[in-house]
Amino acid sequence: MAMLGLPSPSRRSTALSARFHEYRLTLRILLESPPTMVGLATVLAYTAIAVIDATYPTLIGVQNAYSEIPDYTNPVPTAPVWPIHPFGTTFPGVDLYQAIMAAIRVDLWYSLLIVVAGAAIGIVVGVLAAYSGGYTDEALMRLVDIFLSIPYLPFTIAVAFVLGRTLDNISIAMAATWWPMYARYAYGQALSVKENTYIEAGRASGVGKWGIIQRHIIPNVLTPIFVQVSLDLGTVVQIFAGLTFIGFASGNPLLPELGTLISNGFQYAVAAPWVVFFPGVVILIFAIAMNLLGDGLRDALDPKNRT
Amino acid sequence: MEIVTNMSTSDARIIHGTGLKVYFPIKTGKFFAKALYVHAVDDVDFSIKRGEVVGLVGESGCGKTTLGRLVLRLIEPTAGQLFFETEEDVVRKYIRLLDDIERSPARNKQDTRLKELAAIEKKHSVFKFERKEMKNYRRDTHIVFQDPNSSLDPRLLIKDIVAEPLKAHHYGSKAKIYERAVSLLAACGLEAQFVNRFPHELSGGQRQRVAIARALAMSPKLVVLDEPTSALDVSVQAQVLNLLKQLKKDFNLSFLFISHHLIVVRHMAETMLVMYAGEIVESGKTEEVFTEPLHPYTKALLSAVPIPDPKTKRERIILEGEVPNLIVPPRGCRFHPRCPSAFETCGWSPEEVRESFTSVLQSGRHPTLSNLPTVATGAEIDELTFDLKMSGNLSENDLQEIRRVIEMEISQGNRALKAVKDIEVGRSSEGSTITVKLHAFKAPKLGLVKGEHMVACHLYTAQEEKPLSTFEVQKHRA
Amino acid sequence: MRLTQRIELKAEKHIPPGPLLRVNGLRVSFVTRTGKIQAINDVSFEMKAGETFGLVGETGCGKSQTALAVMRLTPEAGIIERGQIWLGEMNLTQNISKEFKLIQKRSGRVKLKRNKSMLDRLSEEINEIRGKDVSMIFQEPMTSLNPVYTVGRQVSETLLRHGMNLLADRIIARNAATDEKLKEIVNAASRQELSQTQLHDMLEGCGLEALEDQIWFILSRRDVGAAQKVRMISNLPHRKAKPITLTFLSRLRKSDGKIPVEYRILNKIPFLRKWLIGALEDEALEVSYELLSFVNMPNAENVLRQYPHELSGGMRQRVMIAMALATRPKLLIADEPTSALDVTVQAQILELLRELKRQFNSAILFISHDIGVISEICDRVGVMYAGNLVEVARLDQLFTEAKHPYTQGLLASIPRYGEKRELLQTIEGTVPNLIDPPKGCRFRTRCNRVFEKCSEGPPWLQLSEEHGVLCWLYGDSDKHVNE
Repeated sequence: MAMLGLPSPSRRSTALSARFHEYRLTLRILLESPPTMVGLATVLAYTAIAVIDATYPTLIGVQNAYSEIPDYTNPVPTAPVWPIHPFGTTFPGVDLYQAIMAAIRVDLWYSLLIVVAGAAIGIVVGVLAAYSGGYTDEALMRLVDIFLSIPYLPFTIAVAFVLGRTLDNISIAMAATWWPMYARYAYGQALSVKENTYIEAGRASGVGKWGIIQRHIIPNVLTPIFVQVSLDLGTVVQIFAGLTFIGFASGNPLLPELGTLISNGFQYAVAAPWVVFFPGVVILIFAIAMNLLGDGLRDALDPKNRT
Repeated sequence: MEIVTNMSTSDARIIHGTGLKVYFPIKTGKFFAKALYVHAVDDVDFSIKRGEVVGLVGESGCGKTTLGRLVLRLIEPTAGQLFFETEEDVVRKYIRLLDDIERSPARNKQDTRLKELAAIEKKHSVFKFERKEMKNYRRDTHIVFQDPNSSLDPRLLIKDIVAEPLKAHHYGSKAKIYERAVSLLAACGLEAQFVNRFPHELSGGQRQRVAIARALAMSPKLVVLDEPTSALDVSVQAQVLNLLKQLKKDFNLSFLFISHHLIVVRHMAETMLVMYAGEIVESGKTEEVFTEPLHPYTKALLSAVPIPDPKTKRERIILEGEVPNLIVPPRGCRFHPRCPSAFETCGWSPEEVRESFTSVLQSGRHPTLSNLPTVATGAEIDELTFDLKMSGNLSENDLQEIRRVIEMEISQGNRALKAVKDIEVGRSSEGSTITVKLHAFKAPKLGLVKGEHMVACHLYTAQEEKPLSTFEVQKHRA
Repeated sequence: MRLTQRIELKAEKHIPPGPLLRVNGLRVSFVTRTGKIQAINDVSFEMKAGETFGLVGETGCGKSQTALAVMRLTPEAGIIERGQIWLGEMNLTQNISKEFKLIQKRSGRVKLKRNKSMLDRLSEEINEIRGKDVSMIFQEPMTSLNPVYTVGRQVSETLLRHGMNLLADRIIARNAATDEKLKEIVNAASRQELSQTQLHDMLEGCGLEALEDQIWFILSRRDVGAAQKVRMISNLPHRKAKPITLTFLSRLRKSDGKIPVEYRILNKIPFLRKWLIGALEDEALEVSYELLSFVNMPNAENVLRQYPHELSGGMRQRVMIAMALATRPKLLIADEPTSALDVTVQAQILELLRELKRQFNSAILFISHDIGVISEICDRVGVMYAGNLVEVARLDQLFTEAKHPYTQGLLASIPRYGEKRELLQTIEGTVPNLIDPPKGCRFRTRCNRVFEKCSEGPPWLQLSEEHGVLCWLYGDSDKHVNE
């Protein structure tokens, strides 16, 4: 900030290093707060697991990342035994540890898809409405209102009914209910970005409407959205698992997915609590970690905190 | 003929605005309410010569910022035309037509004068430009804003910020663009090390230099500067003002320099326009306006400027009240409620006079009136009359006394009461009614006083009936 | 505590001996991620009672922080590392060394640790004087006024917090007055020959000083006639308060303005409340009206009922001034009070401040970046640069005999009213980084008269009784500003 004097001239001065320095500053601020560090570490761990699942699953002891391996000879859930079944087994004879590790990839993947799709649509709609003003603004925002009023559960049921009960379709349904929130959020952010005089300067420079949206509004709106995305991921994972638990994804019962895992073993819950405990805890930890990370990101990206 | 023959290039006008109006609609929230507007800019004419710096002064809410943005067509006008680099005779013809129509209004749409006007507008007016012409206009004009913090995109590097106009106008290859960006920054006093920095790493003065460099990217002919140094420290301001002067000379630029800081405007501008409540109240050569301000507002403004010199003793004119509400601006001259020299024809409304009248009757300042019946209700009858219903009866003596007191109040400085023309008393069973008639008023128009010095004030143009357009200055000078 | 201090009564017994404000060797730093910022470096100055002292300087010079430090309002990340601040007899920096600890971490960064209990104790003590003996007005009145309370409520709140004694005294005095006692005053008023001094003496004679403000306010009103005024004054003794109120008030006075414990509960009972704290609240509202009239607020009665957002900038600033002066503070700190206002409104506010200075004889610490504004209102001026106080002088001395090169450069770079120069004189360079400021004189990187000695801490030289400068150009002394 000007008030405190300028940065010492020992700084590098290429475009790349300028941006790199910014990212490094963000990381430094993130690492200052212990809760954020925990969140970051956990999320990184989950991401690592997901990536390993897709490449070398055997590294973490997963034999098949795409399907649970049932053992019909021993369908009844057995208690955790180290080291063969560290989390025990669930119905029908599936090693819980392997199933969970594989499921993490699936859940993460679909949740990310939902949130990113929702955000993408939402940002475009919100920014367009905010910048255009007038009738476009009204029309788009009323559309957003309509979609916002759709409750996700009945809607998902309807979609599943029409398109079939697969994970893909659930994701579509959820993205369809999720994007209006981002539209609203992006709308508000875009409105305040619009007030900055650099927008007018851009117009005075001869930049057209879409140029302004692309080059000025969206990049400046992305940062707060990014924070929102990270916070939402945790919620979406929970809802997604909840939906599959209720039973929407009956397409392939052996597809490793945390919610399905819980529902598969639900009948044994009282006698074999590990069957619901471990998947549940995995979901919970992710949600909390994502929340902590999101909070930390919000603070780190806040321009006021960056000296 | 009135055409001036010796037209040197220094006289050529680069931009000319006529009848500019910007009214912002307000949502009242009620469905069928009458539309309300903020009359931000109301019937403004101005022009800037090539290579000239025209200063636009006024306080917040006077419309100068709106006018600045209008010149660049960053907002759309409610009325008026803007001619950029249009030939003198075309503009003159246009104004002549306007004056003509005002004198003898058109009776139907087929009037050839209207058709001629439309033709000129379509061909030359900036407000009628289509995309291609607008793009060219944007190349020839640019703006520097007041706030160095919000006028630079915080996510872009300095070199990208300066390169933006170059990219938008397809200046050339990337290499060429960045080369020009670096040289522009250098011309503005920023060395190469700043090229790859973010705005938040620069100080306020440096950011303004970036804004100036960006504005000059495509070698514009006209630059609007909206309070370019108001957010900067005094010593930085000096550097930036010097830079602007240098650049103007080097690149033969024309400036519209908007500022509330009178001393800075005096330092920078040759010609000056004073705005109040959306209208131009005075204009002329800067030195003349400063040494001989005509409009009471200009006088008050000049006396209010804090002078950093304890030895200078000035007559301080402290204005009462605040800048007026532009949704329902004061009638007649918009400055009259605060004007120390206001008189009858300045635009006093029945409400204003009634308030003053009632308070004189009821304040108890005049013991001779203390036995009068109290005022029960008051109402405006029409534009120039109002009523006061009294709770009792008034005698002829009372009326005389009231008249005498009003006279005394006027002589003691009560300006609103100056508008009182007639006081009559009607008697009835419930009590007397005082009917007060006011003088007719009209809004003052900008009129030439001497040289190029124009003012919109009844104190000066009492004799001129015909409204003078800004262009007729040429006529008088020839 | 009496409300008014009048111009005529310039007696020594009312002006405390010694300076009103003494700042000595103040050093304030901010601990940030990038390092320790030395915002204020060894600043010392004094203010006498009743004088207006201006602090002028550009962005980042530390003038606002100095004012905040005097009020002990330094923001979270800042600490007063060293120095003393004396307000009258009170030492505001008694235990600063115990308030915080700077820990040097292995990574080289410095971390700030605060001693909470010491800070709490400090808060308690400071709150006694803040708002009462020292008050502050800020640049942006919109953010200093609470948008959800009416103006009347906010001004009353200030009075209720700090001035319960005053309010109680007023009510008690009104009660103690009788037509008899006021007869002489009423007579003088109807003959329209009553000066404030006479009023004061007459009231003192019958022990009713607290009525002075009320009566003087009535007399100075311009919207009512003389007869009306006399009527209002004669009416004062007839506004009797209930016995229960009087009991409450005398108990209040005995416990020096704090509500006694037993009344705290009683105040909660709805209909009782009206006669206890309610009476004070009504009185506060009345005083608020008087205050708003003092600051020339048009339509004061309506304004009391309005909310801050309904007022214009100039009016809001008047409200701030009214609140600041409610308890007749000895020191008023004004931090850029007119910078956000239009020129003509600024003129109004400065005129008001000059008027109030005359009437109340408050000392004003006036901070601004605009030398023009400073020269309109200040008696003495201090110039700050990069955290140092580089020159202090009387107003006229500053303009005619500025000694420090920065002051000279500053004055030269202002476009002057009378002259027309082609280019303005500028000061080369920019303000230094305060994390790593130049050693010795902080101005030496930009000074056009720099020489070798300047890399050592410059001396403070008192050139005359009122003119001092921090510069090697004028000799040496034994007071150096060190890093």
